[in-house]
Amino acid sequence: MQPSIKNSKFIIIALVSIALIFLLHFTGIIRPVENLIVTILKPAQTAAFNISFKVKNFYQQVSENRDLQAENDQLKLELNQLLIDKSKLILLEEENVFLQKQLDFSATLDHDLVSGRVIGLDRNESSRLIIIDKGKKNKVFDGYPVVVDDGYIIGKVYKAYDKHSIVKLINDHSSQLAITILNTAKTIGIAQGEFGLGVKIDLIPQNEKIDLDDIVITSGLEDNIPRGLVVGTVEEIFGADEEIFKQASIKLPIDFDKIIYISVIIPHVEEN
Amino acid sequence: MLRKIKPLFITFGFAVMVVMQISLFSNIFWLSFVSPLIITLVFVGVIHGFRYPILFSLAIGPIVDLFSPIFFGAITLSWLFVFWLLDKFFHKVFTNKSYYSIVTLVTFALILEFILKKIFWFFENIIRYQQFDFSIFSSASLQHIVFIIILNFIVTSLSFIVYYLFSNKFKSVLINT
Repeated sequence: MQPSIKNSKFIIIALVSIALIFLLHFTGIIRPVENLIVTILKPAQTAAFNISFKVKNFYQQVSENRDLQAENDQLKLELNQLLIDKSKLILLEEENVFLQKQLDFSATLDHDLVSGRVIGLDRNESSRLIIIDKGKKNKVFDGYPVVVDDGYIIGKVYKAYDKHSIVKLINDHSSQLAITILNTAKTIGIAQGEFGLGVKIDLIPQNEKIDLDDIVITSGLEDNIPRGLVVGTVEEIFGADEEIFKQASIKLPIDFDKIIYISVIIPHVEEN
Repeated sequence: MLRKIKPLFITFGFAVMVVMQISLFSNIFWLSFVSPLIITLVFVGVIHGFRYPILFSLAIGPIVDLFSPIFFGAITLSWLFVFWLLDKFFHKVFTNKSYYSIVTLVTFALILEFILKKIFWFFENIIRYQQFDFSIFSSASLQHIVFIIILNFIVTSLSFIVYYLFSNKFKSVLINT
């Protein structure tokens, strides 16, 4: 058998090496090397991710009726687009009323979009994270919202490196998002991910009426996240009448297991 | 000539495994629980000594850290500690290289790595969000580690059988009574 590592010199060298690697990373000295490694690995990761999707789709096609699935997907796309249109109409109506009252109102809702794709996943029992191929060099920074189809928010940038980023999805257990429910009271709240399975809204005052299928959007109260990005619809409402608060679960219109292409919203910095 | 290009092959092999673990296996449900890097490094440790997994951890760990949500260095530190501990455990408990030693060491490594990642994740939440998130130690984690152990046990067993057919570096404890 090979001898055990008794040489304390070896252990000390290993510890010093790792301390050096940390120091070089956090001071940014080895960033060009890290970027080079990521650049080299990215095409392979993209190819590997595409292969994994083909493998997944193969099993799904075997077990599902293709015609029904295609029709179902088409109907879902139409429904998703209708939800976005409906939420935009409601917001436009609100904005119209507000603008009529404010003569000098000049806010814009413009933002830039950076398109990217998913190149990897980090998944365990409570976390849902994806790795995308855009980073600080593409003006992507921590906290920026990540959307699909230009309207559905799926997560926020958790950690941005130079050439790639890690995105925390909204159903990740530690994910929180400031939202508004498009009911008559325009209830605001925090949407919290639940162990990767779904999203719920907590601490909704009992006296505020919410209905099933009410659309849930981002409230705009968070930095860098504009108002109006669709989160989903109210699926279920919990909480007894005698309690002060109630909860609601959100039905997510996007299948997070099938996301390949994403966009990151880059907020405009206002110039004074 | 072969000696000169061997390190290149090894580097390429590990790069392929990193890509497989992050981008290929992670998207296929059952395979997302498999850790080809840990299994390979345990094999290397048992056959050639645990200095090599420690050295490889220093080289590959930072690359995996770049794609990990935990702070940079968490994976590298975990692997260094795991393989250092595995070295002590292997020489104190086992007397030969066999199927049982490989499987036990892989299981031990996975459990230890899982616990260390949870602990690092817990401290990251405290530093980043000032939150004490104890839910990462929930019973769902227990189910998760059971899946990880079972699936990696299957992959380790298959890898052992394949390696055993082409090498005499393992004692035939599996079949010798």
